[in-house]
Amino acid sequence: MHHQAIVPSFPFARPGLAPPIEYAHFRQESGLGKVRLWDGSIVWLATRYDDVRNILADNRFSADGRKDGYPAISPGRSEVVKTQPPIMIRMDPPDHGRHRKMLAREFAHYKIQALRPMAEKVVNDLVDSLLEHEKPADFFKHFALALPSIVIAHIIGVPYEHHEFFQERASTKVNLDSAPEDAVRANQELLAFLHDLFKDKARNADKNDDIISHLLIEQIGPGHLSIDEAVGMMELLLMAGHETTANMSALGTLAILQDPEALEIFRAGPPQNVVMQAVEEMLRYFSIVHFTGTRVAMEDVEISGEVIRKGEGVLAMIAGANHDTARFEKAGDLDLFRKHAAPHVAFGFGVHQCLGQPLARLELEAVFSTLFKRIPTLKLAVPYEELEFKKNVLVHGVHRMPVSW
Amino acid sequence: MRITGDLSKCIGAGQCVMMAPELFTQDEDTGLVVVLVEEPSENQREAAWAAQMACPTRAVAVTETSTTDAAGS
Repeated sequence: MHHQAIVPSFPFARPGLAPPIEYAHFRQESGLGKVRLWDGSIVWLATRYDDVRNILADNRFSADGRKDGYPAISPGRSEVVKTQPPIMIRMDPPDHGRHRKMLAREFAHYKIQALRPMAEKVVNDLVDSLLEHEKPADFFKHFALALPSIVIAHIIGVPYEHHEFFQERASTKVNLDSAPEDAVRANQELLAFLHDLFKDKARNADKNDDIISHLLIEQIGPGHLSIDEAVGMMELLLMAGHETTANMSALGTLAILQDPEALEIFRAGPPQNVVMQAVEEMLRYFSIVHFTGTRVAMEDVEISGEVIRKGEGVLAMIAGANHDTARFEKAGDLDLFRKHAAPHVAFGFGVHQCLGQPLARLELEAVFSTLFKRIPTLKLAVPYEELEFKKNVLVHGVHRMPVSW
Repeated sequence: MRITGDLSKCIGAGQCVMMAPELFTQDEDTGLVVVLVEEPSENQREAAWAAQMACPTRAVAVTETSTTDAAGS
């Protein structure tokens, strides 16, 4: 049992690249800890590698935001998960598996690897246009956000001309400080947009090779999936497909710029295994999707000697797990040449582990094998200390990243 | 050593393919696990364990089949 006089408020501040320092304090304590959410509720906090994996792999914990005791971490999140139709990441087995398996082959390794030439071309095109831009330029907006937006829109079958529309709504949805009505409105606008797109694409689905067209023919046509379910699914893919990789490629670029040894190697055109290794370490260290792993116990479950009672909320924090010194040597050091950063839990664990992770890896590899080779003089246009890290956002990152070259 | 892939647990996350591409692939129709090498050789053992460790749904299982096998025959 814990006898903390004051239960700390969650979430904790994260003013830089590293996870909140509080997670290290929690890991030092025995077993699990407890934190207080915005609505006054007290929930469990897991920050150790083994605990986080055990919780996320245990189907006695539900991810369904409508269940009593589910720990919504902001008023906006609470409103969205309780009032909006459930999407895949908020479903439990067996419904979850039914949906997930409809998409598994779309993101299988061989399928994603076939996109490598496309991803490399997009990176090169974006470098060209960045170089034509007036200096300084916002690397996040003009490069980092554009790459995954173009790629995911292509795969799903969303015309890229709508990128500002979906990027803006996604950004509102992931911001914990968004007013609940704004978060719900952003969600509904995205769903309405995709609903129209499904209707539009149904006219010639057989002529198009994208996920929406595949779903129309293989799942919706035969009645395995409703349009509304498919729309929710695509909203998730569209959002998760660009917000995440965008922030990873900005933070990764930042990390390389701050590391003279790495910078020299990446300027010279690093071998693929060096790039892959660095990407895994970036994923581990940044753990940007840092508020995932919100669960509620469906029955009493023992974790590390503590009994989590039925109906109690749990936050299984991937950013805590990925910095556990019991699992990763010198876990607090960002070492872009680290040999064994995987298996980390940056993409989660259990049935909800990220569907798009091969795509995220492919895009990040395309960025870091090319960017510094093409722009060896790339540099921050403001002092590092002036960069503004996101606060209270589901996906960690920087708001703007002014660069010059 | 013997490798199995449980299709009732597999969600097609592809971790096994990433950790041990010579031992696993994903089915072209379903995206789910296909074990390419059920009895890995001595120099494939480490990769097999890594795949089991990385599998998010614990669908990949690696078991020692006999003492001779464990000794690395």
